[in-house]
Amino acid sequence: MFLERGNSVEAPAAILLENLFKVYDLPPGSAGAAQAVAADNLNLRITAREVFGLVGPNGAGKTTTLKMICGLLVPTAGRIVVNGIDVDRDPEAAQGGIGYLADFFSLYDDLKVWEYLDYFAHAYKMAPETIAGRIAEVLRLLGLEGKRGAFIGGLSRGMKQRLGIGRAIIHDPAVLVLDEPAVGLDPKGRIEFRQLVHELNGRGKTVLITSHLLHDLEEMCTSVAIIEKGRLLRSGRLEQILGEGARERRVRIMVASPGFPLAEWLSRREGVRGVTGVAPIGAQFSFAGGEAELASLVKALVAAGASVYAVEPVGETLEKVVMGLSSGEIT
Amino acid sequence: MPANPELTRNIRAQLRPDRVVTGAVICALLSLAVGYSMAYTHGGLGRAWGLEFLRVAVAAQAFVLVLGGGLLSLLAIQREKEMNTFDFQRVTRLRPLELALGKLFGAPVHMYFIVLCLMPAALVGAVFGHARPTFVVAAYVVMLLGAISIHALALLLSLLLERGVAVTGGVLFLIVLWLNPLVAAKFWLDLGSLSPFFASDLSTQMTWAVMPRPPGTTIYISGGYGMTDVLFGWPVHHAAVAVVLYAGFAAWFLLAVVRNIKRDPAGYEIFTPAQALGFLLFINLIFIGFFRWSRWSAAEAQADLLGLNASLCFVLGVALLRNRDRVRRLYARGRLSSGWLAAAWPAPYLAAGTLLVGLVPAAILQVLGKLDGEWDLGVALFRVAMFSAWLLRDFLYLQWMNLRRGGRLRLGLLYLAVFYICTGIVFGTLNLFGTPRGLAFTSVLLPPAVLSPRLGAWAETWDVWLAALCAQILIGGIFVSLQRRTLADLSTPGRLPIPAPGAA
Repeated sequence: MFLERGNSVEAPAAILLENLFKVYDLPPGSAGAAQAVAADNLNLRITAREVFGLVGPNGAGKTTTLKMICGLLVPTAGRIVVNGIDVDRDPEAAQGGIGYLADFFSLYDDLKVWEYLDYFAHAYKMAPETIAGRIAEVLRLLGLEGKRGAFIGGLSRGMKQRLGIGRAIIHDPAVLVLDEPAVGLDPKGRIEFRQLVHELNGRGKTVLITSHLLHDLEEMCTSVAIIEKGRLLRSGRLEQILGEGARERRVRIMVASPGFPLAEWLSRREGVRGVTGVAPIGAQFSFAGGEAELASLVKALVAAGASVYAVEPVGETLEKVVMGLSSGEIT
Repeated sequence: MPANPELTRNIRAQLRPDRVVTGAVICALLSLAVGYSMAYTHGGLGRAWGLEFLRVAVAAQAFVLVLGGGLLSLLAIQREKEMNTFDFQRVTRLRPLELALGKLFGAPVHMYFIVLCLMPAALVGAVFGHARPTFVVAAYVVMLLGAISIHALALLLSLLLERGVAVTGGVLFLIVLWLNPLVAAKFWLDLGSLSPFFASDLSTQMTWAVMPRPPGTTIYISGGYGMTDVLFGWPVHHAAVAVVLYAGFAAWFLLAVVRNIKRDPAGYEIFTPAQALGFLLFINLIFIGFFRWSRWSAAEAQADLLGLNASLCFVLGVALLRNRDRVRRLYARGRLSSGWLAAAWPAPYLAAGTLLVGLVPAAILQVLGKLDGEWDLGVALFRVAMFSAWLLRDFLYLQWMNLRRGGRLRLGLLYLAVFYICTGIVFGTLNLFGTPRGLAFTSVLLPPAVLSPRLGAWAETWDVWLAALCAQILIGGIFVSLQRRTLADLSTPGRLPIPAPGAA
């Protein structure tokens, strides 16, 4: 369902944060201010079926924001709406549409895998006749069919992480809230996790995710928000954020001319800054001009005797954008 | 209840076949060993052996259920919080009552199983001892309800307190409860032990007849007088009283758990003000109903009842205290005025409670009491006013401390305790408690002096007593003013996040 607003068609919001504040006191004797702000007039609109990354340094307020969205913490002021339900007014109804995974958690080691999922399926009030089928489906999705009857205490870290996600999705929620879900996973586990998020998103889930692994987020997210000290620094579609982050175009030129002083030559040209060498023979630099100026630059380089075999734009990374925006301070 | 997911989870985790078999075998071996040993002592399997074996079996069951189950309930939520699994339960669609009931019966489910395993021993004892079935059933009802009320209290402590405090406090409480039949001097109330351990005595009773105790009997013993309570002058069997009281306590504790189990910890609030008042009245009904009116003079009775109520009003006061986070949220949402009423919190409700529990006994005494030369209605009313002003003073202080940065309630309680101990020592050294006028002077700082029965010298000292009352009001006013300043600081725009209109 899409909502029409004027001439534009806007996707419905899965999560809406309006003027959200969360203030708490720092312990007596803390240096600086007496109180900390985990959310400082946060306004966010997360469209349905997005994979939305919430990025920021430690203490930025990410976990607090996620917990407020799940109804686990009460905001000092402001409003949160999830799937059209005001979390403050009807937390249990809102929670029925949310799957939540905390950053550090344990499972019940003395339960079997299927018993764990069965417990949460009943706790989410699923129809009893659908539960067995749903558990089988989730175990298949997570690749844990072979562990159905195993005790949780005997699972590996990666399997437990997957089971945690299984718990979050057992009731087929429209919104998934994942707080640092890739912590402690090995590279293979992280790849599998990214695939799982893609698959869940493909099944129509809205995913709100925080992670310090910005490369992972870049691969998974369709939109991101960058927060610091509870304040929203920037939010939007990923490509838009990466585009805005790049003040100048980064270009890489590769030549097949051993002995040609490429870096030196480029450094003397107008509009070129920050030249760094690239092996085997090439350079990467920031260029202030447009396409026409870049074409002229390449033409001049060829005229100077360099055999150019590659000219390519170098994209901005989320990591660089975050580092550029962040003051590096934590609350 | 069988469909409660939290209960099912606990049953699955705690009653695995290996644990069930181990528990059953150990119980069977213990039952046989104890039974054999007792038969050896009693010279065979006679009636005396049967009754004794029944009593021991029921006592063991009560021990396991009340203490073991109490400890497991104390740890139930603490452990979940530590493992970070409690948030996962809070975020489900389990209703607070479902979650609370699941934990109430689920956390100690292994102890319930052990009780079942010991049941054959109890039944063998009952058969050989020719025990009356109604008493055996009554003993189990008492044990079960008593255990449920203790488990509900333990669950509440587990929810509200930090692990160390909850476990230490809870264990001490359980030990006192266990020892209760031995140490509890039933001085003021015609009410038997409220420890569920009395179920073992109950199981071997032979008659429901009630026999009021002779004057001077202060400690309940097994059987005989021990099973008779006196409610509003009527003898009633203690088992019936215990069942009603356990059910009442369990309901109050469960209400507090249900109110808070899915809340943000920063917003914990044991009872609403109205519920806190209701709890106070419930306990007062017990005090008034079972009070030994006939034993004391009216003045002594009033002083003793006020003394008993002081601890209750303390519970009411703590339940009403607001923390800084909650006040900030109330301000940010425009749900709290900045007037004097907010600055005097929790005085209005506490005043209502203290006056109510003070005036009702005074009225009863005036109408029905053993009035003598010591009794003076004016003095009695003054006592109530002083009692109320004293508690208001202390709670206005505690509320102010709790609203300060960092929530200094614990420090406030510590300072208060130190204050009472130090002034008590100094006044005692100066022998101020020894003379009527000295006693009146001490009440400026130590208002509990008003509970002393030596107010008979009122005519000589009324001016000092009135000055002491005024002093309480003045000190209370100072704390109201301090609280007002703290509230003003909390509600200033720089500290309070109120978004500008249309901010987005």
